[in-house]
Amino acid sequence: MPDTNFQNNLPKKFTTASVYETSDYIGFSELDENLKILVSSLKVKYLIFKYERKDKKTLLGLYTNFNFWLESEEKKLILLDCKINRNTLYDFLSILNKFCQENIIILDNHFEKDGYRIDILKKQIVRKIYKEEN
Amino acid sequence: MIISAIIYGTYYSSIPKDFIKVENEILYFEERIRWESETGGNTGHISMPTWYEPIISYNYLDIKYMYKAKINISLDAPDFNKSIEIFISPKNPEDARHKLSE
Repeated sequence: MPDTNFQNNLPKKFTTASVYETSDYIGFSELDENLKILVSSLKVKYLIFKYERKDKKTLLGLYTNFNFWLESEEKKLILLDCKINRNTLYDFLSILNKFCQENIIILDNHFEKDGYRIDILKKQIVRKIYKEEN
Repeated sequence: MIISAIIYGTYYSSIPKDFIKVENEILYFEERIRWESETGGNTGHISMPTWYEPIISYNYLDIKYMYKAKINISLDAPDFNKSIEIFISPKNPEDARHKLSE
């Protein structure tokens, strides 16, 4: 179970808002609950969502892959395999977002900090690129 | 569904005669990424390269409008010097179309 005393020390409003829309989120599933119990039992309060981007240029264009993982105290906890099923990423970020809102964890989301968002409707990762000032 | 897509595409790819050309500027690009493996894995997903969609602003009668193409402008790199012509309906300036210049 979450450390309820710890919740009082957290900022009241903390959200990652890593997705455009989460309206299709239907609440905690059994998997969510298991992850929640895991996080609580590890006494983890501060998690870092990291990623590695891999670009590969081909004659057909630039192909982009990502590796995602969750870290705590510089140790990898969970490695996400999103290459086969991209819904894993949506679901995982939704769960982490929910955990933040419930003050169970504090999340440092490097993926979001670097400007990446998820367009759920089109099932794409989106990033805005502005013109560099001279 | 295919027929409606064709009608939709034809409608937005043609520029009506009463439309006028306006000055415009590319504000930013949306980098759009599908990150499945190049082969699409074993789920049957079609792999697509990363592409870039320009978000354009234009002014008409001192009002600024934002334009995102209804028919995708898919560039393979974010080129801020890319010449894109924007045409609008003077009666309804929000109704805009684009034409890629050579």
